[in-house]
Amino acid sequence: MSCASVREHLPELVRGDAPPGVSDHAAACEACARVVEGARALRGDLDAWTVPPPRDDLVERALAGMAMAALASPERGAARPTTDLPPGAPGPLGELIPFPAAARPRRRSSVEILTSAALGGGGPVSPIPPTRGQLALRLVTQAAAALLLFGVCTTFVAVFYPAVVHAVEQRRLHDCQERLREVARAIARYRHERPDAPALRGPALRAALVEGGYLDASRLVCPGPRGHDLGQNSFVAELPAPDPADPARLPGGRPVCWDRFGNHAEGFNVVYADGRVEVVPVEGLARWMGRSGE
Amino acid sequence: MSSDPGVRAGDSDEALVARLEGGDPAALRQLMERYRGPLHGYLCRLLGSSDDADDLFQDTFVRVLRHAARFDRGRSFRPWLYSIATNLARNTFRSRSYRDAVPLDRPDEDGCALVAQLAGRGGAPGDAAERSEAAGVVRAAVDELPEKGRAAVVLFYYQGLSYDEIAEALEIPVGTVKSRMHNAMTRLARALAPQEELP
Ligand SMILES: [Zn+2]
Ligand SMILES: [Zn+2]
Repeated sequence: MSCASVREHLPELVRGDAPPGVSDHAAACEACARVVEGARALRGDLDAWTVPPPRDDLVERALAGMAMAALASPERGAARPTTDLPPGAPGPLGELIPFPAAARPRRRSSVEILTSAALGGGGPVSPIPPTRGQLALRLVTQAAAALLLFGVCTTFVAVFYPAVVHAVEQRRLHDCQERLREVARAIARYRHERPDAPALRGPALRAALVEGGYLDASRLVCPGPRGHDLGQNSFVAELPAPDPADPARLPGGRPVCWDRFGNHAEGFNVVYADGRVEVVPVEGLARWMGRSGE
Repeated sequence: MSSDPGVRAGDSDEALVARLEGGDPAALRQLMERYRGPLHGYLCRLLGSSDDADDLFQDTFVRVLRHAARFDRGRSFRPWLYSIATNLARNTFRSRSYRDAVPLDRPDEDGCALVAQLAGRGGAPGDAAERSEAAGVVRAAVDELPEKGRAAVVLFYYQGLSYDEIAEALEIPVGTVKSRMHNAMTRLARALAPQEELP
């Protein structure tokens, strides 16, 4: 290493990660020592330039902004309106959901029933103590029955589990839409009663709605799988500034509340000021953003 | 100096881009969380405004999502991300009719200029009070750099990128990156020279 190599690596010396050979030469060479000292001083100056940390919800806001850009775009074509089910209407797979309830009233376990059927006696247990042979037979039969039941259950789960999960997800998506409609009604009522209120969003809007008695705080949480993780931050809501022409009314086509990106695996819900709800499929967002356009 | 902390933890950036291309929205969120601090800091230093940085952070990831399918698997993600952000920042500057880019590669500084500047200034950085004042001075000095030098210095010093990564991010040869860095550092050293050196 030479003075020339120190010269070559000066920017790294300033940054503090020059190769070891360079630092070694600089430490031993009188001519380079001052340069290294200057580099260290420059580093001190550069380190003084700090920037504020990003806001905590930067990513959430960016994702919501991306979603809203997709919604507002005339070329979206991906967003499709929901069937707008009336409140209380059964979900698409409503028949599947009562299944566990129908299975509940049994008193005896499935293993007991299968065992007693195999032993030929379904009645009350005999008061005469069973012999050793009877006990062994009962144990073997019980084990076989348990195995059989396990097999049946495994097959059942493999076949029906995805459908059940899908049904649960659909139900959550639908419940979420109900909540969003309530939020939209609350925001519309707030604007109606306070035509002079400024535009509000985030915690300020939450406080205005909840403390003003317009909405129960629990309704501001998305029932989707990720909604509860985010808690009070699972929806994005916005009260637009009053329209000078008609300050007590909200423009009907304006989105006022929507899901955070990823609340639901299928997409995200958005409600407009007039109570209309849309679900934007995730793949629709991706398509709008041009990924599958090639 | 602040590099990108924790960026290599867990899934690699490149694996996340592949998942994103496969349609996994969680991968996008993960990438955004990972670069929340570093990318926002970069944009903040380039644009001088935290709000503008918020906007361009979002725009950068819109482009990541849009072009994920075209992302070359053999490349690394970090320089690609910074190249997108740098181009967006450049457009922002142009639309705001900021000063034109002065070519930083012009041979106005010979190879010894940085040596002379650094050897001439000596001394340690000032105390805390001087340092906080220095933040504004550094910012102004970096602002005075031509656009391309500014991006290179911020990528090199504050984001901790290598010369190769900067070359990829700014789409210029590595040799050009090195000469720009020398020139930019020389200018900074001159601009930040202690007051007593001035008449
Ligand atoms: Zn030397
Ligand atoms: Zn939801």
